[in-house]
Amino acid sequence: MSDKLLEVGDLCVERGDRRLFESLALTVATGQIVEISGSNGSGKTSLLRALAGLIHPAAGQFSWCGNKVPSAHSYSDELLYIGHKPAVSMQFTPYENLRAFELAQGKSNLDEDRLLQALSDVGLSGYEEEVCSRLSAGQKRRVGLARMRFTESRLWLLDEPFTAIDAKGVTTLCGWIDEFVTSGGSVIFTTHQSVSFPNVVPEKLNLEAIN
Amino acid sequence: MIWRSLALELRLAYRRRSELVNPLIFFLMVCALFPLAITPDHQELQKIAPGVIWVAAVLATLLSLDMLFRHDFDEGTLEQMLFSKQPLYLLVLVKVLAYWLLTGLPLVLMSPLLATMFYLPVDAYLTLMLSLLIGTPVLCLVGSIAAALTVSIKKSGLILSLLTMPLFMPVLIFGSSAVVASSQGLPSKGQLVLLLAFLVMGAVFAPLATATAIRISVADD
Repeated sequence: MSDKLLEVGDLCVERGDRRLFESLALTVATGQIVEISGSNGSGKTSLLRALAGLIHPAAGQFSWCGNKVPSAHSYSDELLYIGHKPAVSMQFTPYENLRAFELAQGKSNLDEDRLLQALSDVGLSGYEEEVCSRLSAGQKRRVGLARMRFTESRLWLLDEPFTAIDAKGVTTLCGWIDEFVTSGGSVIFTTHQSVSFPNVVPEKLNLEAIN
Repeated sequence: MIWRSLALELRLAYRRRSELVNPLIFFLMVCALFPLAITPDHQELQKIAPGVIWVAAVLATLLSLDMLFRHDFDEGTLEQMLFSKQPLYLLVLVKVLAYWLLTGLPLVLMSPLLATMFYLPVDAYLTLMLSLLIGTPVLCLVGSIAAALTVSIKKSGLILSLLTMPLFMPVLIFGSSAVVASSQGLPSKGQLVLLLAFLVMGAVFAPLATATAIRISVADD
């Protein structure tokens, strides 16, 4: 279980005139969790967004599965990215939102049972036909998090996935992350909470310690 | 796959229909006010009709253009498009098509009614509809580039108009001149074919530019 999935070297990210960090190296192997910590403004979100290819780093080399790739765009369809925005269409019902996500996954035939199962996993059974704008903040987040239940991505990039989620929900989420990682996936996530996983000990990366 | 995506896009746009009805009402109102403000004289109206209807169509498109990516950007579904297993080019094309079906196509269908109001000769009805049918998707395609570029700016109205107006001019010129020609009994095939060429070029190249513009805007967020 030590195959390198993503290897980033010499990464430098700038936002505006500010250099957030430079010569950062990060490796995530299959079956590994990397936990990124750091105070507000230390660049956790920017790091994840750079790894996801959403922002262009000022410098950096990327390798995916041991092969050098020119940029993060080369592997972006292998990622599940959950950011600060819930990525939920407010005028859609939770069911329709997941339907849209399933299409984006390139699956044309609808797996109805799996979809409804994902919704009940996040505690939204009974809300399938409710328009998302009428759900609470935590429920909206849960619609976005339901994507974790039926993605086929190999690497999850989770930016503070526990925001607005209740204590029981956090435990469930940690269980999912653990389950995904023990079955050969990889996760990079940021958080301000201290969380633990049943079977895996996360690698820790503190952005303040680097600068 | 494309049809399913299109169906979902249409359903989403339909849920936001109040925003889509706005430009249509605007289009109808502008066209209805001109005869009242200028003259009820048949010949005068006939003369200004192609220009008025086309200008109103261009402005109506501009009015709703900002909405094309705005909600998706704010809700974060736009950045999720970059992780889709489907090519961004295709997703953009589907989005613009859905948008046109709900904003452009109603204008086309409404145009014979306006043609009657302006006493356009019956021969020009078809040309008017055809020119709008070919022209409005070009406006949507070209406009989508500017809409994607400006979506990360909160108040993008002015810059969006400034960016799109010069690009809309050729469509406006050939569109209205086709209708003018055919209302005078002259052939309008040349202008229509040129519009068609715009459409083909727009459908091939505009989504490429829009896809890049989306990446830029998302990076700017």
